[in-house]
Amino acid sequence: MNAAAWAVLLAALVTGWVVLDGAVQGAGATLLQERDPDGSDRRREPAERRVVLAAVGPLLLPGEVWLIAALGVLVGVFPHAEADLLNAGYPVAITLIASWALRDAGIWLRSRRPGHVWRDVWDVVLVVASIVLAGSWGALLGVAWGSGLAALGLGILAVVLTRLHGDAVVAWRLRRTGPLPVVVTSVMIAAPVVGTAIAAWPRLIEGGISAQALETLGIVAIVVLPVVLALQVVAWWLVSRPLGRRDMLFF
Amino acid sequence: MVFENATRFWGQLYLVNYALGIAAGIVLELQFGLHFPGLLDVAGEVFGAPLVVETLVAFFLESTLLGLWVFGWHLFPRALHAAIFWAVVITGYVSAFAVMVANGFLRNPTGYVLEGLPGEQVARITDVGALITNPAALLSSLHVVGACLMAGGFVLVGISAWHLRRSGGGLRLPTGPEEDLWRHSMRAGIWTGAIGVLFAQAFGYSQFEYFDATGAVDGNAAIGVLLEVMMRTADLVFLGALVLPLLLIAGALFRMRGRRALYATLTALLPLPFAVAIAGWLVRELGRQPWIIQGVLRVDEVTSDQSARAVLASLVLLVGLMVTLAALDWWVLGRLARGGISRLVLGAEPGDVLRDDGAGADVLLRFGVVDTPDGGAGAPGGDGRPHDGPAPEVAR
Repeated sequence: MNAAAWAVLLAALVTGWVVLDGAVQGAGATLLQERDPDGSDRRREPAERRVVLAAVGPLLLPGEVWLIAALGVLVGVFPHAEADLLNAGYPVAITLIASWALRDAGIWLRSRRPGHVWRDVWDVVLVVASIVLAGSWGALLGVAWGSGLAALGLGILAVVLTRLHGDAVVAWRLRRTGPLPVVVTSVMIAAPVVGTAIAAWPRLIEGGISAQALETLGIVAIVVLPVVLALQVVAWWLVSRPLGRRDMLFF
Repeated sequence: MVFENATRFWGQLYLVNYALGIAAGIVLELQFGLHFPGLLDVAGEVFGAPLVVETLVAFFLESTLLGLWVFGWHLFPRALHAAIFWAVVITGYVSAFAVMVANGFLRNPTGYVLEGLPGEQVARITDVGALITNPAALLSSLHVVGACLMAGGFVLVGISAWHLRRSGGGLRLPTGPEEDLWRHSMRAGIWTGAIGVLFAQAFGYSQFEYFDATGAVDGNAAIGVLLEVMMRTADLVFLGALVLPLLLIAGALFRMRGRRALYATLTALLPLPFAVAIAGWLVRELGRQPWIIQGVLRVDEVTSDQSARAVLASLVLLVGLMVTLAALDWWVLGRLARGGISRLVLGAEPGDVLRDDGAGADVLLRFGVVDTPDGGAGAPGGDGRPHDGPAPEVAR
């Protein structure tokens, strides 16, 4: 695999993350809000929140690993590009890490204790951390465009798109009619990533490692990626089923 | 039955602990680019390659498999479900080894060459085999695996001992499923810990081979003390590992006089392997100072250009966050450990979990629960489709 193939893989990994984890972020951001059929908003009951978390729960582990893999490729294959990106986007990278850790802690820990206070506090943390995570991510994409305005714009766009996407995925799992189909929100949420990959392409390729090392690592990637993808397909199948009595309500 | 209880109880603790591991791993992965960009500029290719393997191969598989294990609980046949967890374990070990290859390169750089003009040198891999069989990767990995098995053994033994101390027991056979679980777990923990300490010790001492060749580790007084504490603790645990398996003969450990005091001691010792593991990592990382790559690159040559104030702010934020999350995580683990096998969520029927959450009839119906006292066994699936797959793994 040459630098271009690795860059395509990197873009694919990031796209996978925004589509899969974006649903978890969106469901987290809207955890407390329920839109009734008559169009009015109300606060979700505890059991309803649990159902929403159950709907997107199976996406968390197989989803966030896409960004971890993308960051691994960035460190190992495009180390100079990573150093440049994180140097320019230092503050949003820090809020990204902090909100990511908090979001994960919120999902894993909130249902582990029965108390109302414990769960209500974690639910608020989950809402805030999910919004900050989506916003930080969008802003980091904007940093790759090299402009503060792009960072602000993409940050806000990411927050809006994850909400729509989270709503769509939850509605789909519950077999309700959502405002937009999942396919549409998936394309919408992936578009800024693909656009950024094209815009940042030359700087990304420049920031790579030697051709020989790319080849060696490429062999490893080509051998393992089919296995990874096959397992991912099984994970997606879990989510494609309507939420029901054979599901696990762990989160 | 005892294995199902064990899987659900210990699995739940495993998952809560896993959450913190992911959060800490995310912080660590971004540290290099954020604060040590010079390391990537010089050694990105050599140091980064094992991290690509770790994230793209090992952790990707591990995390996906763990997701399948948790959320496919009621969907996969029992044997497949168990096999998925073993695959999680294997990929977890591969992941740990890949990280140790990266860390081993920093401690004992081999299999590379520096190219380019002085001041702009870049490290290139020349020998993949040497990078992987680096004693600082291979021996240290086996040492770390031993230390991890030892820690796992202490957790199993410490928590089982806590429950056994409360339940009394003292009979030849366990009094019920709960005591049966703690006895099984105690046995498993003692053997795991015994094997662990053997590995940790053998491959701990064998690391002196490359320590001596690449510069002494005891140049710093604090490191010497930590190293001494680590080695003497391992000696004591080794003695324990000789005695405890003997007490398993004829179940003596569960019947002998004075066992309650022994149980209390075993529970009190639970944090020990964690403290020693931290000491071990301090020896490893401090022992390399002032180098980030031993003898090649110093830490002060690779740090980022961010202002000291920005770095301090991020340090306070991230360390504060991680310490808070760790404390909460351990508190939750402690509560779950004390709770025993009552009200386990992992592997429970969704209807039971939701009923505990106060769900209404409409929500419960979706999960196949009709409001009858028998809890809806045989009720139609809430999604209106017949389920013709294998029987649910967890019988109620």
